[in-house]
Amino acid sequence: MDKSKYHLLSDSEAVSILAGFMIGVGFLALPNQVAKEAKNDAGIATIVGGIYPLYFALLSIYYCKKHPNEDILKLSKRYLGNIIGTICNILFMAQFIIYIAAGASGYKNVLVTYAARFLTPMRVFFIVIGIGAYVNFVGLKPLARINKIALFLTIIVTSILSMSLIKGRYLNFLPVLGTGINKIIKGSLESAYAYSGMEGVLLLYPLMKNKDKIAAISLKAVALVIGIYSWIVLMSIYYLGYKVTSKSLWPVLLVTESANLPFINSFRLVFLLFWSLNVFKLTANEYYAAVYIIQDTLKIKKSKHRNMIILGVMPIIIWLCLYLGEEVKRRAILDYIIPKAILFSIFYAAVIAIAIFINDKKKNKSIG
Amino acid sequence: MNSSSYKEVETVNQIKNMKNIKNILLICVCVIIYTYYSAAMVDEKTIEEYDVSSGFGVDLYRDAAGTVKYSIPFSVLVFRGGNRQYSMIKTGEAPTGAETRQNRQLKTDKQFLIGSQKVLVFSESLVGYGLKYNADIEFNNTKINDRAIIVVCEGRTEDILRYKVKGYASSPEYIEGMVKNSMTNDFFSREYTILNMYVRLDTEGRNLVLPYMKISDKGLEITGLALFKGDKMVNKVEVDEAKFMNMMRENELLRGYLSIQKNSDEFMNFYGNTKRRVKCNKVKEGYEFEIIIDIKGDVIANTLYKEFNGKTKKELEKALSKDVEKKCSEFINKMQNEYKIDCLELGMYAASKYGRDTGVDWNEVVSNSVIKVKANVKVDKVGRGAY
Repeated sequence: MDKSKYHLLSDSEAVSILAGFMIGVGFLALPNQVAKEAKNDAGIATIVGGIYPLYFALLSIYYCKKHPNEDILKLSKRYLGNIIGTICNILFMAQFIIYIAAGASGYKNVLVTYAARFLTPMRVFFIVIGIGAYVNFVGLKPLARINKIALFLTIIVTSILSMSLIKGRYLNFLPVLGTGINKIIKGSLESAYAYSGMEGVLLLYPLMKNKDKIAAISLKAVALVIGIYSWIVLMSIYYLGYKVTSKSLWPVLLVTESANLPFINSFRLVFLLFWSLNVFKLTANEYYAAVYIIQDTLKIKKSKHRNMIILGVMPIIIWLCLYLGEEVKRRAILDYIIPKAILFSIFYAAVIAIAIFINDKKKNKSIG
Repeated sequence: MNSSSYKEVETVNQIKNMKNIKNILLICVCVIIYTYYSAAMVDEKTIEEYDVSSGFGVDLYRDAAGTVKYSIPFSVLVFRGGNRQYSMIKTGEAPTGAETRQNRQLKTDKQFLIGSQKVLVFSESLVGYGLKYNADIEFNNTKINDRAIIVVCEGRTEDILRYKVKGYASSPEYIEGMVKNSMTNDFFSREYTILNMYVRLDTEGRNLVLPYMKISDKGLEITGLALFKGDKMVNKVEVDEAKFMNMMRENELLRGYLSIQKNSDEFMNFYGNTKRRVKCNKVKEGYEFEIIIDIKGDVIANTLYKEFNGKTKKELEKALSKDVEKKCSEFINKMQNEYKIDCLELGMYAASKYGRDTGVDWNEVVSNSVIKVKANVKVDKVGRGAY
């Protein structure tokens, strides 16, 4: 990896790439999944679900303070030993590959149902994964710029959703906390998939220009994503009520119909267009993370060999995408896999944080 | 000197060749990608090859054996040179909604685009049977225009769709305009759309209301509103009554006329905006609702009061308020004793305050609870003077 000054991420790029690791496919289906459990308190559940990325943000601050130039891959090898560390890293990589497949197949399902039903799954996957691979050939800096553009567009498009403010009813939120704490926590667990991806920060912090600002950067990214997500969920509940929200597979697209823009027949397609960019960007991000981990494990320095990895991973991802299939099957499989992946990454990050802590104390003692 | 410059030229040429090869490769890749993706489009047709329709109806009837059958007529536009347009009715009949498509295709020369319609006409027989089965197929269809307008009609929907309005290619276009503009003068809501139907059918304490339409001797006419209980139409109200119902029911700004008339020479007309608030309280015997209607507007015509000053203005406001309150209470009385449904969506307020999904039948609760109405009329403008 080239770490010359030019290739490091500036602050705004770092914020948008971290947010970009989260915002993606989960975006459209999120209100549906949360409302199924948390009902009219889905908004609160989404905010509570934000604890998950916040956890990684806080850990990354701690990591960065202790080891500003070593990412989690090197730390795990150092503290857990070479073999266990490598196994953990490979599992960590597998998680990103699953997320890519989940994202791309989710995108295919939306695209084929809403916009282009003539496209075969293979054709969609080639485009999505192909773009992800292409951006990875070019490097980290362009990736960060794409993330920046995508974030701006996402904010603009989600703010257009507020047009439904005229037609909805605030009564749909009431009674606040009426569904009970249990259900709200269950709902917030449902939002975990949408928030997943923040793990990427553990790989990225050595690549930032201003490492002393890591706290501000990661917290800003988390706050932005929590803001966007809770806004979407609140809008869906506000406009549709929780029952319709939990019936529609992609309720956000139903809300977009309420936006009555001049000259635009259906805002839904415009929304899908911008959202597509989000999916491409997310795929590229996670692709980057996966390739980065493989590169680290195999100790590859040459860019030619890196390109080989990028192409080599592609068929695996496309096979996984095809395996996930249509939406009902996809959600069933993901409901099984994602909790485990999330638990793993929480556990993994925590173990290394504890190892750093213990080691640090020992060092202090030996000095003192 | 010479040899080195030759070498330079050679390397430059080599680089140029490399660039050429790269460009050719790029073009090849583009062509391959294009053919790969356009191969997917082989079965797709251009929009000219589809039947364009402006609206469709949904009818339901029972055949001799007693099984339910759907009859779904489409009003299809026919383009034939120049600007002249015609519309045709193409009907499909089958035991389920989706199957009507295959039946209809047998009578049609083109493929159908289902979902781009502006108007959906439901027959009384369908809404009497239940709307849920039909709402499902619409909810599932991603191509549907969720802002399409729904009306309920008397008799067969085919007759409404076939009705010729002079100057219009098809009647749905006319119906769309009728419903959209009924809000300007008749206290109608803006929202009689499909999206609204999904929301109303499925939210606790809310009931659907749709414009009711028929062909009278003067042509197409909105005669009132169809009242729903759950997904079934159970009753209908006339326009005069619907006015006061909407005033108490709709959350949005409504516009329309109110008047006081003593005799044919002494009367007063008023055009105003209404907005209402609802308060809900739980008391010993059940629930207590208070509806406060704020009306603001202009005096349009006035022969009732000779002189219009501060005193008579207040008098007028009071008289109008009383009139509105009286008519609203009359409607509430009728609703509680005759219709026995919660047309005013009061259940939603109670549910949002005292808990959802508790299994309460809000239609019953509202029919048995105390509902008070208060109206505040304010005269904003009086025009350019009384004549």
